[in-house]
Amino acid sequence: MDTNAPIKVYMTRKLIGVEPDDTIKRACEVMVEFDIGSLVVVEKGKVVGFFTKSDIIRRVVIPGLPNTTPVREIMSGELIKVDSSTPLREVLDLMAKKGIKHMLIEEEGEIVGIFSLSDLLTASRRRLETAIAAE
Amino acid sequence: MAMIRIAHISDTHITGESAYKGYAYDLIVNEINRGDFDFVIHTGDVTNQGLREEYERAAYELRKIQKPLVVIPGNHDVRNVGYTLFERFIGPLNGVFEFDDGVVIWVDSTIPDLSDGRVGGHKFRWLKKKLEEYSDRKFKIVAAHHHLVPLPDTGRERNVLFNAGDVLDLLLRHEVNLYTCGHKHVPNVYRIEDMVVDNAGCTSCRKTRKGDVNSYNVITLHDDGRVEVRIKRVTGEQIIKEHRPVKPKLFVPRGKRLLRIVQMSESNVSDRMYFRRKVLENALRTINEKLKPDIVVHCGDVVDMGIERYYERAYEFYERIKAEKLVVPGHNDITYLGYDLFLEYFGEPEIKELEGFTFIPVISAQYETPIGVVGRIGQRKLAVRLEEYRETFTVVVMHHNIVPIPRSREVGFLEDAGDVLRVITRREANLVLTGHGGNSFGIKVEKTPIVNAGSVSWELHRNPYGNSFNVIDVYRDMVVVFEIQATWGSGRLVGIWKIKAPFIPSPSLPSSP
Repeated sequence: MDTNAPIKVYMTRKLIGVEPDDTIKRACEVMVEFDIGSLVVVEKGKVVGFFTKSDIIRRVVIPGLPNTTPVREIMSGELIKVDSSTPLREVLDLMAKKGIKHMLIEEEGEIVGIFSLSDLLTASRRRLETAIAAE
Repeated sequence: MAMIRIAHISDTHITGESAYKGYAYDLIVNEINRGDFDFVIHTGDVTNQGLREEYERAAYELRKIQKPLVVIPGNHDVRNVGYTLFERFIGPLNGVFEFDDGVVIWVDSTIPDLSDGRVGGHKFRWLKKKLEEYSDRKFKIVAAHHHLVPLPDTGRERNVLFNAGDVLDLLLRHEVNLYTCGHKHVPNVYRIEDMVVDNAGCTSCRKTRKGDVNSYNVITLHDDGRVEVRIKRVTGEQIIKEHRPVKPKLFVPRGKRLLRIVQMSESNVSDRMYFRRKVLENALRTINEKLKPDIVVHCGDVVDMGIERYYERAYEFYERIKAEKLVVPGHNDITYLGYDLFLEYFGEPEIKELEGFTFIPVISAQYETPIGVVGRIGQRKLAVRLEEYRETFTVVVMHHNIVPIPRSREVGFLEDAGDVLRVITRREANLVLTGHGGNSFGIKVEKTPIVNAGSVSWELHRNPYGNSFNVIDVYRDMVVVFEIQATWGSGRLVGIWKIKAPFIPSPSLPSSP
């Protein structure tokens, strides 16, 4: 793992999401099927919201909302994000300070990726090196 | 920045001998000088033998180009310790050229006195550092002499970049827009994920292939991110290819999945200590009890050696799989008596049709060598089958990898990989599954995702996540590939791709549970 590498090297650049009018039930099905802990909310080809499993616990399960509620009502519209050229070191620092498990990555004002703790685990086993020869 | 135009020349082979075609060089250079180019990239083999008189002449010839010029050393330039002369007469072997909103990082991929290439540790780290430094540039171009993916019409796939897999992975992770190279004297353009791989033909060498003529490429970088490459032959013929990167890449799953494939490789069943019996048993249990695929595809090397005792054991293991099976032989499977034993135990691999899906096995193993071949007849058959089943979801299943695999030493494992890759991309196969190299990897070339499986139960693998196999879920509009850790059953996303090649899902397709 290179902590100086820009976050784009380690981020997941293929984002799985739901639409704002999809139900929470549908969103949970997608999370389970793709084994992921968060989803982006997509409207007209743009990311307009984001939520995680713990958002569902806090904003749906505890208040007792039905699982047919559209995700629009529980998603976070204010996105926590960094630029894709930010070094991994700085992203980790931010995530630690904010106490968050997911960071959205942007490029020219658009969300293009996500970096989560499981991406960090994957990155920790990946060296961007070559064993082929010194020279 | 409106747009940037780059002339890409290569393999000039300047010498006093007949290999060099001075009139072709002058023709192309005059065209470049008259044209509206911001700069010129020469991707190596400036000289023919790296000799002093050749370098003296090359320095004179290159001065005819009245545009900023980036020159990269090729394998011919470093013959006869020519690399010292390259620095004296031409310039640095590695370097950076900045332009408006972009950068060209060029790296010396040569090995003295060999035709093969390598970007060794020092240069690899330097390249990585430069990519980090210029990370925020809109256009990142990396230039080297050797090709990164197999090229068609080159005869035998050889003198490759030994660590092409590592370099490819590095460039894709850093979102490099364009890789320019030369070397094989064959002009070609491929799109790999969002990176355009631009191979120049030869500008002024007599040695062209398939009776081709001299050529150069014109690269245009548009403000909206589009990369266009135009192959310009001296006869005036032009071929244009263009790619616009898609950003962001969003996937909104719709409907149930149509099919689940488990892809495994390199079980290497044997009584050797490298065979991990328990890991294979675990994997088979996970497949049967948890994953419940519609089909299990084994991309070769079922046994470590082609002997009866190993085949018997392998057969016992694979009898346990409840789903449909398709097994193609790898090079280990046909050693010794393996050719006959494979047929006896697993049968001749045949086309498998599962409602709306066609699995096309391709035999590439050769007797007692890890190097494979599909052959010209095999390629033609594959092309016919891809055409015949065009409206179904076509899956090509073979042992040898056709794109380089990270962490492996690429030596051109498939003799005719370039021609096979052309058949697959031209005929727009929906998916290609391979299983050589001991590492899980997936990339899309043109419209076709190409996925390699790591080793499921052989200790001699190259995967930092351990023994694994892949699960591939196909939906109406996308393909999702996960790598499953064989011992623990945990998953890691290898890739998701929208289905771009032709596929008409029939409305009656039953959904998997």
